Amino acid sequence: MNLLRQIFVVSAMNFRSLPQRFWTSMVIVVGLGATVGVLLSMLSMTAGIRQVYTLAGSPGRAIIASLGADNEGQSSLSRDNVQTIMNAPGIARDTDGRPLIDQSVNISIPMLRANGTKGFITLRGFGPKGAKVRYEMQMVAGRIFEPGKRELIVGVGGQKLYQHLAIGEKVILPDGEWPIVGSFRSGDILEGQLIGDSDTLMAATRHPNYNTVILRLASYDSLGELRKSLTTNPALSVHVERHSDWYTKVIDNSTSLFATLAYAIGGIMAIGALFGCLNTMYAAVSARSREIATLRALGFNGFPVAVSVILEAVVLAAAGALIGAAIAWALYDGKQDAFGANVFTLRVTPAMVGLGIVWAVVLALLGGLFPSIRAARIPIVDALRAT
Amino acid sequence: MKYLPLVFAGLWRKPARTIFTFLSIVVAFILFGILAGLDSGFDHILAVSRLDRLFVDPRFGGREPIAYLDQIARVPGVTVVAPRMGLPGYYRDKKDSGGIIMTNSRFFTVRSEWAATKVQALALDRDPTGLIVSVAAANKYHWKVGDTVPWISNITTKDGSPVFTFHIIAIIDNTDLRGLSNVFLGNYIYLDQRRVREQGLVPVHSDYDSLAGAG
Repeated sequence: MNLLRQIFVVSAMNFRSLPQRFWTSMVIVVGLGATVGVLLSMLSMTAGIRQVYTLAGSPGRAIIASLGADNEGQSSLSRDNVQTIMNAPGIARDTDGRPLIDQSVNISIPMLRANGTKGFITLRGFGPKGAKVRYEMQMVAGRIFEPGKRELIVGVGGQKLYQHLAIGEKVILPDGEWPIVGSFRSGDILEGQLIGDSDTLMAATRHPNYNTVILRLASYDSLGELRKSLTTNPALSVHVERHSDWYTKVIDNSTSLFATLAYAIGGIMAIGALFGCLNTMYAAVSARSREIATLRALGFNGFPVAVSVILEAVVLAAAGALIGAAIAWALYDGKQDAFGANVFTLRVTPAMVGLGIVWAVVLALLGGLFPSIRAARIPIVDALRAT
Repeated sequence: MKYLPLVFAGLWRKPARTIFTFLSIVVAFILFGILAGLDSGFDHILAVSRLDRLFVDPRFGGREPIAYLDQIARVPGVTVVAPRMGLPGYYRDKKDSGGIIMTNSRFFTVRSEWAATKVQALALDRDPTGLIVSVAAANKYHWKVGDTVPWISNITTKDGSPVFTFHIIAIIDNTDLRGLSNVFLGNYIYLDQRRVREQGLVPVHSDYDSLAGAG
């Protein structure tokens, strides 16, 4: 009888006896289910933040911010700066021949959340070409704001998370009420924001400067030319980045703390689950010692016996991981939340479920290894006498 | 008591199992301890935070003219107002960045838990390049009174140099959270004299605010 067949026979026999060891086996399922469930629940936040920014960061766009600014709110560009940027090379042009640049403002304003708590929402100003630069935006209801008018549009994500953002309702700014005239979908970070006309918003909120300029590159490779022209200009003190690279940095800044916390807590729980797994598998080997000794006496090799032990641990752990992932998915996937003034949707992605299963399988391999060695080395005569 | 040897013998019948069970309980309590510690840390911060102190920042973001401080001070019930503005940057190690709070002596009246003497507080007003640091910060960077601290900032200055040169005039502690936080306090005027943009404005974002102490 070849080795593979031996492994199959011994493992099959092993799994058939599993119901007798149901409750001790549940230690592995529950332990790893809890570990993976907690890990993925905590990571759903970083995954959600990553998603909205990744989708927003088109490599065909560039962002210009003042030197040293880590986020759009910290950046400040004067009207003169923007005029200089407009004349730089490497920028795509609209059908009317004007450069496709969006001189934007980024303000966070207090807004009541749908659950009644106080929060903030990002109020963004678009330049005249804003909607063409952010071409992912699709109006789903109403119409876009008219430049020069006190009108706002809102993303569908923002509408869900905050109160009083339906079309026709009004947002109070220092110079009066601004009606919401439309809602849009974009699938990215914009979807949680209010958007109006930059110049009108700046006058209303007394912001003398724009925050950033976001523009469409003439081609993917135009960035070098644009950067060289702007960073060597003594009148400007800016950094020029591909929009996707800018968001990669934003993602790192805003998720590293959560990710570290998730992995730290997940890691500690994993160590606990590992001890539970070791315990369960030692108990399983000891419960099966007569059966194992009989198999060995019949001429079965120690190796298939060891493999069957590890396989049992792996299957139980993977089942636990799937249950934990399913719970995390059911509780959090698709739920909307805000981090500061940025709305995002919590995500439990297939890749994260894969990560959970990998964690579980690795822990099961570690937790099954020593018990499996014990199983392979059981002294046959003693074990046959065991009761 | 007479069953104790029996319990002990039972525990050591399967030593591996006992050890693993013990270890998983230890891990559970370590995790519980860490999280409970975090929780009580937050509770402590809440418990020592003052109800008679207000942060004032513009509702629609942006900057607040420093002249507003006098107006806020005239509001009935307000006893003292201090400006507070961050000077982001770092000392020696670029990765170890932080912010100096640029303010004036009234900061110590508003935030009385920062135990500066009257002489130390007034010294800050007289000395544009003076720097008052917390005990924790002084220990971390091995500073003593009189030391020079070059602070490299990313803001645009009139002379083009990113370096703000401070010297330490006092080392003080927070009586609520002793030895805990790294805090640097500088003179607001030094910043206002050197920066190009936004002179006379206290920039306001979530943590750079004017502080108003209400009576």
